[in-house]
Amino acid sequence: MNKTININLAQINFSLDEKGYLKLKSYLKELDNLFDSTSGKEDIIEDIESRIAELFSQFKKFDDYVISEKEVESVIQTMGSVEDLSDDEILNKNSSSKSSRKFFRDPDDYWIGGIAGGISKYYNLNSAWVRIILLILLIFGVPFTILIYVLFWVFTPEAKTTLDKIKMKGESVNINSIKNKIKEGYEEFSSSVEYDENKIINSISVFFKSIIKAFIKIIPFILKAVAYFVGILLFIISLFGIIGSIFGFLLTAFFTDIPFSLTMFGVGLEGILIFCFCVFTLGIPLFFLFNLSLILISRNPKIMLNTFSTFILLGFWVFSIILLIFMITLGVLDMDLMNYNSVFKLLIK
Amino acid sequence: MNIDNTKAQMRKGILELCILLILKKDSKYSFEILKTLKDHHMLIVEGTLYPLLTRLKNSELLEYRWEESKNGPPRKYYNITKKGKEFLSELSISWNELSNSVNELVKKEI
Repeated sequence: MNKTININLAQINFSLDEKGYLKLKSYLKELDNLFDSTSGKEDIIEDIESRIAELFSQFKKFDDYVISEKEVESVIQTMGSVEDLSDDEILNKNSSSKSSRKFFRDPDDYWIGGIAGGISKYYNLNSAWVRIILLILLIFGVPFTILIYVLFWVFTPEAKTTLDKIKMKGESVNINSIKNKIKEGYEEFSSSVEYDENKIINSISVFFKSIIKAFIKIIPFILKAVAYFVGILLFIISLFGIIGSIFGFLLTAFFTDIPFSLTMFGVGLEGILIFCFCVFTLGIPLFFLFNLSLILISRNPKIMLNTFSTFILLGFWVFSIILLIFMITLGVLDMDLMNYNSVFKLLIK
Repeated sequence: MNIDNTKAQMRKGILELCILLILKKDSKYSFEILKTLKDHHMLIVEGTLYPLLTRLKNSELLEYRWEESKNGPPRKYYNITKKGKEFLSELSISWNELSNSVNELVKKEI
C-alpha cells in the first residue's frame, strides 16, 4: 500500500506515489537553487515544469493513473540531473571552479574491466602506472586484490554517456552539487538498507554474472601475461646464449691447454672456419629463440622472420653442423700421436 | 585539455545558432525544437534547452505565444523576432567563415 499525492504541474493534475513525489520535489528545488542567479529563472522553471507535465501525460494511461517513482526517475533522466545542468550553467557563466571527478569504469581504456583506466582518470595518472601498481599488489596479495577488483567492477558504473566521461575526467563543482552528492549517496545507502528480497536476489545474480564475466575476460589477460613472461625469459636466455657462445668459443680459442680447443686446428683458415661453424651451430637456434621472444614481448607477429630467411638460416645451420662434424673428424684423424697422447693424458688426469 | 569537455563547449557555443536556424522559417513549440536538436545529436539532456530559450527570449531574439493543446498542458510556441533574424544572418555569416577556415585547416593538417 502506498500513499498517493496529488500535484499540479502546468495546470494539470497528476497523482504521484509518495517516493516519486519526494524525488520530484527535491529535483525541482535543486533546479530552483541552480537557476537562482540566472535571469528569467521563473520562465525556465515554468518551461521545465510544463515539459515534465508533458512527459507525465505520456505515462498516464487512464485518468486515475498514479505515476510511479521509476517514471519520475526516467523523466529526471531525460531532463538531465542537476549536475548535468549545472555543468552547462557553469560553462555558460564561464566561471572557473575547482574540479572534482567521479569514479567510473573507463570503456575506452581497459584491459579487464576498465578499473585501472578509471582510477587513472580519477587521479589524473597514466593508466600504465596504475596497472603496474595493481600488478605489484596482485603479486603480494592475490586473493585480496582480485576480490577488491571484482567489488570495484560490480559497484562502479561504466562511463557510458559523454557526460559521464566529462565527469570522469573532472567536472565543475559548486557547494550545491557536493551537497547533493552527499545527500544522494545517503539516500541510495538508506534505500539499499531497506530489506527487499527481489533487490537482493537481483544484485546477487548481477554479482555472480559479473564475476563470471570477469573470469572470462581475465583468461586472455593471464595468457597475455604468461606469454610476456615467457618472452622475457626467452629473451634473456637467447641473448646471453648468443653472447656467451661467441665469447666462449673465442676464449677457448686462446687457451691452448684446454682439450679439443680450437687451437688444435691452428689459427689458419681451418681454425677460423671451425670457430664460425661452432658459433652458427649454437647461434642460429638461439637466434630463432630470440626472434620468438621479441614476438612474445611485443605481441606483434609481423616481426617474425619470413619463410625465406627462415629456410636460409635453417639450411646454413644444417650445413654448419655437417661441415663441423666433417672437419672435426678430419682434424682428429690428422692429429699426430704426440698431440693425441697429451690430450689423452689430460683427460685421464 | 580534455576532449569531452572541449566537445561539449563546441556544441554549446553553436547551440544558439541552431535554435535560431530551426525557428527561421516558422514558429515551433519547444518540444519540436528539442526533437530536431536531439535528432542531430546537439543535445544531451533536455533541460539544457530551456535556459537557452529563456536567454534568447530575454535578449529579444525570440518571442513566444501560448497555444492550447489537446493532450497535455498549453504549449509555448516560439518564433524568431526581427532582431533575431538580423542576429541570425550575422551569425550565419560568421559561422560560414569559421567553418570554412576550420575545414581548410583540418584538411591541410591531415
